[in-house]
Amino acid sequence: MSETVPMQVAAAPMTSPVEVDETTPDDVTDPDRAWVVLVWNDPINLMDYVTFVLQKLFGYPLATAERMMLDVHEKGRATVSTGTREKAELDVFRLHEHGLWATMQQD
Amino acid sequence: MPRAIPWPGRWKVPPLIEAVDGGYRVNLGRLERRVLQQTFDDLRVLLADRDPSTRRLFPNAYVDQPKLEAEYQRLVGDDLADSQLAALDVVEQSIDGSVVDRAGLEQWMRSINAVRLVIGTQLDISEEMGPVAHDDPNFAGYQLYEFLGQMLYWIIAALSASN
Repeated sequence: MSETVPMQVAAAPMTSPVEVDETTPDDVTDPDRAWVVLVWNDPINLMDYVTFVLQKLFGYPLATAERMMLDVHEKGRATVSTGTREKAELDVFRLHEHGLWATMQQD
Repeated sequence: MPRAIPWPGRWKVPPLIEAVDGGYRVNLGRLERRVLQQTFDDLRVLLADRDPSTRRLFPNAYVDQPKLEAEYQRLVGDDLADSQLAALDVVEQSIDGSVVDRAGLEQWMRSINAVRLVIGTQLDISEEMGPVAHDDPNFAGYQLYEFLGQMLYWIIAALSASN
């Protein structure tokens, strides 16, 4: 196995996408607020892979993609794109095509 | 996320991912090719069955918004699974060492990552894992998982070198 670097997840509380609470659906969307696309940390995707995919999909320079990857790694998640709901859904789909754990929400 | 560690010396001659005229060649040994082909065959079956071990390939788009999620799932339909299958088609056409272009090597990258995600899920990989004992019943699975990580590393290295 590849050597794994133990994660130090930041102490900041965050909602985990795994836990979908069916009893409190918050399906109201506000047309004036932008959507953000988040990538979440996971124990399998490689750091170099995440960096490469962010460059490929969004055209980020290496340094920007690396900083986002490190935010995912160290803080548990990072915002990788923003925009309309339609754009965010497309970005989420493209990230899912690459096996990254991406979700979207309003800012 | 784990860091990819190159495996010095293993892929020197010829390199696993070789830049050639018109693109790249994936140089696999006969045994490696057979193991990978079996892995890809397995992935096709697991995708068709929507086996729970493929769950990392189909994450939710929305958190705590079931109606929006349902809408999104209706919109996406089978597109995500079809996209994985299309990548596997490209990979299987070039697993014999036929030259692929850059887009083709990117499909290799996606497919190798996809099988790695599925096998990693089956092995219940976590951040805190230490070395695996040789008598572990899943030892072969961990070896395959590591091999896939190495392949991914070299594919990314090749794609990055020619950016």
